[in-house]
Amino acid sequence: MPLEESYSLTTKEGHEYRIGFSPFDIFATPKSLTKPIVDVVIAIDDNKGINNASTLFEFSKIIKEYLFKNDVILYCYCDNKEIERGKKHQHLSPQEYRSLLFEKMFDKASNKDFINKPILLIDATDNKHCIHFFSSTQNLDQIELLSEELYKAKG
Amino acid sequence: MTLQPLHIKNSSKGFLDLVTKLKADKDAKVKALLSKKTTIKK
Repeated sequence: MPLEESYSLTTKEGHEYRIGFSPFDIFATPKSLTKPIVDVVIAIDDNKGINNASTLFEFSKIIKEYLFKNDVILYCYCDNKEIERGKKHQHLSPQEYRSLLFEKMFDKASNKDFINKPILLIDATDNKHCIHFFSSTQNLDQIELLSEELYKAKG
Repeated sequence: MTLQPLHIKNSSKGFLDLVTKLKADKDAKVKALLSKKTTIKK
């Protein structure tokens, strides 16, 4: 089954999002990692979408459906483009806020079949990068393997 | 279920190259996705 898929989702407010899944091979992966890594990207023109509960629920439904069909590790990089955030979340960077939304989205559709591993990467310039791994609970060891590999990455 | 977050701080050049690549890859994929004509409607 091909791992590449893309969907468009029009929210009830009329915003059109694109959700894309594609194989990902940037990480150095250990031999013991047997599951493919698939990148999930959520995009909208000009980042003018609305991040309400029903939109997050639709995203999580698409991601869960994909994981039901494909036994993979999903990877997501939260980008740092500006995003509307309420007073309560002004202290968070756009990346951190997106990461929080991912977490909420994931927990909203929460069941014991799936896991979400948030990872904060801080580089030599003190820039923060938020990434997530998602998969079915049975792949917990695979997610831990990938996380360890990132931890060891010295370059 | 959301697991305990992992924080990784790494000052090596290799790590900086890696995160730079991750960011560039994401930007390119967003661009490609938005210009894609064929997608499944949900």
